[in-house]
Amino acid sequence: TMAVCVAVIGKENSPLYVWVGSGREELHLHYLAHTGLDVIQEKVAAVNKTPGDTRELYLGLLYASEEYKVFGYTTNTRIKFVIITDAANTTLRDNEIRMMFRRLHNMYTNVVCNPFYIPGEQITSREFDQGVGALVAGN
Amino acid sequence: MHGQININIPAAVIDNMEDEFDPYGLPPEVTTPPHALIGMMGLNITEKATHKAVWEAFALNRRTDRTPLHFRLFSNDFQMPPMKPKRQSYEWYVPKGILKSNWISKYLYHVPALVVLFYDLDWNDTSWTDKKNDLATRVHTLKSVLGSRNSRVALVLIQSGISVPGEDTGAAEKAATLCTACDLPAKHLFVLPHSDAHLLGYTVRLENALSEIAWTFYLGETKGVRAHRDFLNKTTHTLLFVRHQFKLGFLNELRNDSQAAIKHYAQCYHLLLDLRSTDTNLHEIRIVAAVVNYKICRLDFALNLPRDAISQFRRHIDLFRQRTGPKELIFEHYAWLSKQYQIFGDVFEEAVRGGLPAVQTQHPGFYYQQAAQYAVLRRKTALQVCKDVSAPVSDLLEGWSKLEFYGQRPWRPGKRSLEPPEQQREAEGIMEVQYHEVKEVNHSNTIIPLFSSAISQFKKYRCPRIKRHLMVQMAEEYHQANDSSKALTLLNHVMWDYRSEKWWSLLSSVSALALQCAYNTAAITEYFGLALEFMGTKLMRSEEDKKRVHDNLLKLLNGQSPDPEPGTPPEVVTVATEAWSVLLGSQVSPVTVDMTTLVPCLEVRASFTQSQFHVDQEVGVIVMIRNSYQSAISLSALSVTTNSPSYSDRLLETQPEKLILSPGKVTEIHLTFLPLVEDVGKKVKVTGVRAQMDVPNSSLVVSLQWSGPGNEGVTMHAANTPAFPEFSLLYKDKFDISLPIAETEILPRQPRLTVQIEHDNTALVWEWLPVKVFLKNIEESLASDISLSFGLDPSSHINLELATQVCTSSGLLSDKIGSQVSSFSNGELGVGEESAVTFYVKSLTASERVLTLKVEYTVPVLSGGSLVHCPCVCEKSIHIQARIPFQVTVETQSLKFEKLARVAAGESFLVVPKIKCISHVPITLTNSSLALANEVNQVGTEAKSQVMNTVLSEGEIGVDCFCVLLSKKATPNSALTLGQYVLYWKRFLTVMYRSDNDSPAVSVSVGLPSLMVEHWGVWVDCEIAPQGTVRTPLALAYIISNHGVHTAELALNMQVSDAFMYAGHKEVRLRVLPGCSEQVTYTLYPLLAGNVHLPKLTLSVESHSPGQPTSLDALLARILPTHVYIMPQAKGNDPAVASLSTRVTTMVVS
Repeated sequence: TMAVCVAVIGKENSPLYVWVGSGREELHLHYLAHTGLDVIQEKVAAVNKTPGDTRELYLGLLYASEEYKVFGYTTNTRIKFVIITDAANTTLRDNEIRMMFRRLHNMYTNVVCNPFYIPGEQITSREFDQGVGALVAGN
Repeated sequence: MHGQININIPAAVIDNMEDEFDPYGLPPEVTTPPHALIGMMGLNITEKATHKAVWEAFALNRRTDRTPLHFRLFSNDFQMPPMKPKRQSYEWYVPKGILKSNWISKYLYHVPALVVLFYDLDWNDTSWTDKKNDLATRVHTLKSVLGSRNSRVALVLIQSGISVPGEDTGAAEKAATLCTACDLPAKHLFVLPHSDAHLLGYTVRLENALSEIAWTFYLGETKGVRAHRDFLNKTTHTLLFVRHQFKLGFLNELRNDSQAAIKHYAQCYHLLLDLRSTDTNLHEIRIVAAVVNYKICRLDFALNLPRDAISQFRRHIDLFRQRTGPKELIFEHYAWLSKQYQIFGDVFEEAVRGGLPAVQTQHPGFYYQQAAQYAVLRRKTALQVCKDVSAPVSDLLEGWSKLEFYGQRPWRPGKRSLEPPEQQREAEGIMEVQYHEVKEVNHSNTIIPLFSSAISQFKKYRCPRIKRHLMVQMAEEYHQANDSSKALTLLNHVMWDYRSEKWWSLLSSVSALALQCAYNTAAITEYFGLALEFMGTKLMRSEEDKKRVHDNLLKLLNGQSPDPEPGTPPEVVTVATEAWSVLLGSQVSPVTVDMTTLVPCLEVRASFTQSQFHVDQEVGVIVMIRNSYQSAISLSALSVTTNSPSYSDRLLETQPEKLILSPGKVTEIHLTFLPLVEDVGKKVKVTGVRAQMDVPNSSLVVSLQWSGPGNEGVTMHAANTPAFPEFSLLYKDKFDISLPIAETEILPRQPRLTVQIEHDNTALVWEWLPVKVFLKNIEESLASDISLSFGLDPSSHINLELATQVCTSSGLLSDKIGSQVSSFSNGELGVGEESAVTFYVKSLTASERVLTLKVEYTVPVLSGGSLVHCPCVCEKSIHIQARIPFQVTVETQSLKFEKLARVAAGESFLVVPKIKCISHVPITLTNSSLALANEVNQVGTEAKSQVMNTVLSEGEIGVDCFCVLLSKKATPNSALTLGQYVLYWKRFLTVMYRSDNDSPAVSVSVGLPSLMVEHWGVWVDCEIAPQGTVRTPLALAYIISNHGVHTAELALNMQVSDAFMYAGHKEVRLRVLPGCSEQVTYTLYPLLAGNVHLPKLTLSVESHSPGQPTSLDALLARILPTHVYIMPQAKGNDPAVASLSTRVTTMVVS
């Protein structure tokens, strides 16, 4: 698998969707996704200080623990995506992570375009579930 | 025996080692910064003040910018540690360990690089020779104490006077002899003057010189170590290669050469990794590796190479993470790893304090965090592997803190072999380590400070969420350490943030622990709140769990201890049950749970039904309560508090059947109250909602409270509040999106007094426009204290205010009339009675005005059971457009009705005002008059206005006429202002207005034009009948008067006319004296009928008195008649025609 945890986090930092790979310590990964927000906030604040019209949405590696690496991405509407991979998974390239985030962003856009979805609410969508499943499986 | 020396380590150091001996940490001497050791002898600091000053200047308050040196005071009888006998051959020597534990201390504290002998001796000392000899003896004694160690000796003479070099040649000579006597090089003799204030400066210079000498000692020592190396072989002496590199590194550190030290330590680390390691010597290797790694990292940071330090540490961890050692001692591995992270965190933190910048993603906190996690893992694994450890029979761990080599096992010190020599003894030793680990080590005392360090670092580097996660872990640790109350305090902080960020998964896990802690400490308020939150939908808990917690709440309400949380150890349960029963046995004071900070299973919304109420209406309050628990919850009372305490007793619901909250439903509770008259104009605000839970016959009362600024009557973490209010239409649940009306305004009572206003929308400027107000009381009782205020709307422009007058009929004659009539009292009106009031409005400018009428009265009303006088107010506004009613133009005319711009003194003339009506309604001119200047008088005192009682409609013009006489005294050749024309008028009343009293006439003054005053010395009056008859003689007389002061010589000429024959002078000269007059008479015989031209008279003045025109033609043309009517001759003798011939004198009055 490509990732052990995928999280979509809302504008006000509340989780909209958290997927955790089966057999993983779910709570611990929730904590990791949550604490990644610290770095995201700092990075976004640092970018906002320097004026510029285009902002890189991919924030790169947020931090690494002994077991996991935490990557971040934020949309222009301040929706944050967090992907956590195994620290041991050294074959993953930065570009692949970037592509995963792009796909996740597209999938999120589809969710928001659904007229029955209320922005800011938890995401409960079969299509999104399947999309995340394919994403983390590397398909 | 090798190097087993009795060294006199200071007592404090030994105490420290006993107290804090940590078999996995660094020995204290390793972490002491290595400074060159300089011994000082001959200083008597207790008795001699100068010696004390010298010592303090050297040894105390050493700032970091001074040379790194360590001074120790040596007494005269100090001893050096004994030397080992020099080994001749290393061939048969087998080292018993890697690093000797006493070696560092030896160089740090006991083997001085240099001993400085202080001696009070001035160059001109009287007993110079004696003292010189005494000094030589002392130096020799010292040298013999130092023995074969290469420690250097230096001599410092403390002198009271300053010697200027070169001045006293005796000094140089004496110094030379002193050096010879003491057998010291000249460079090792120093002089320290203490007499002046620059002692510190001298000291700094002296210590720099001393440090040079000291460093040569260490350089010599390194040479000695290197010399050994040549004798070593790579089979039996691998340990010595490591040891020697370490020694070289350390000696270079002592001589302040960090670069060289790092090189040797790195070499040392490298050689250490080359050693073959087994479970037997792994511990020794990793302890030594920790020491060397510490040295390298610390020096890297000191040299401002933080990247090198971090990568060295990473490598160090990577190399040893996999080398776990024997399974029975796996916890040692984690203990060691935890220690490595902690040490690195400390070194990093020290560097940051020294000015190294750290960033959010790389700072000491991460290392403390990892250290704490490994410490937790250490305890976890220790508890696993040491489950059935029993108390040891022998004490194999004795002397663990004082082993000869770092990291060796106390039950087999100095053993070289890589295999455990005795299986039995090894097993016993391991068991003792295990026993020590689980019984004698207080893990929480290690773990909690690590979390605490990490938390403060993450706080510093702006990682609030990581900090919170660490706080949770720290709370878990406190809970493990049976300090549940501290754990609960920490968790309370954290949960608040998890609630506000809606991370329910994290909150669920934390809240379970918090509930456990609240149970353990019998914290009833927290327990209740947490339990209510636990029962809600947001926490991911099973229904059984929720039910269990609910049952516990019911037990509590019945005065019983709740059941323990699952997994509570029995001894904790015992203590907790005791605490609960003590609490419940004594507690009578009610428990208040602040619900606003929670995400509880009960949520409320308190709202007024409207945002405005009239004071005689019942105010409605709806409290909606949503129960998201799986079964019904009963309240015993529900109350709403407002900012006005007087309504509290009405805003209370205690009927139990209304307070059963069905599961998953929103229960609405309606409350009402009648507002107080005092609250009219105020706002009533919901300040809180309070629900009460209790059980009959139980002493425990629990209040759930929703209050506090910002969340009056709502649940603050309203868990389902839409993130984007724009999409709230999509929500099906109105509870979440409804916006409570938190405050309502109490309005005055709706008035029941009809007010009608009658007036013309168009007012005429200057007129008093009547505005009639009709009041009718349709209340059910007497309206009293009726008071009317009428006037220009307060928002009007200031110019309008000055140009508007409003009054009542009684105020019409007052001269102080403003734009407002306020509080015009109108008594009282019985039921069904009517009354009317007329106001008058005068507009002075033609513009639109808004006028407001305010009627206030009081009426008795039944409120709260008693009769009160309730004030009522009604307001109405009217718009009035004012327009100019007429235009007045005034002309002056001569008596011949010709326009006149100049007038002679004493001349009569006419003032003719023309009034053009442009009003939309007819106006009545009631009178008019002239207000004249002093120089003019009206002719005929009884002369009446020509326009009196004239009615003019739009477009009609009325002409008035007054004859006035200019006084003879009027100043000639000046412009004369005649005065004012005053016109009295009013609106012509038609029947369409229901007006029984007329509005008064108003006057308008119009300025009269001004005239030029002329002065003629001569005046001519003409006397002639108004008409004549053909062929009937007609008399004509000219009376010529002189008004001047000089005699007038005049030439008179009478022209011939075709219409007349006449008798009289045709040409004559006249002399008229001042103040006299002459008459010239003619008899005319008319020849033609009609309005015929009279013979023209010309006069010219011959005396050239100044200021008089010579020709009087201009005057005569204005004042003399030019024509006369001549009637045809009557056929008969008609008496009517005859009467017409009566002579009439034209009005020429002087």
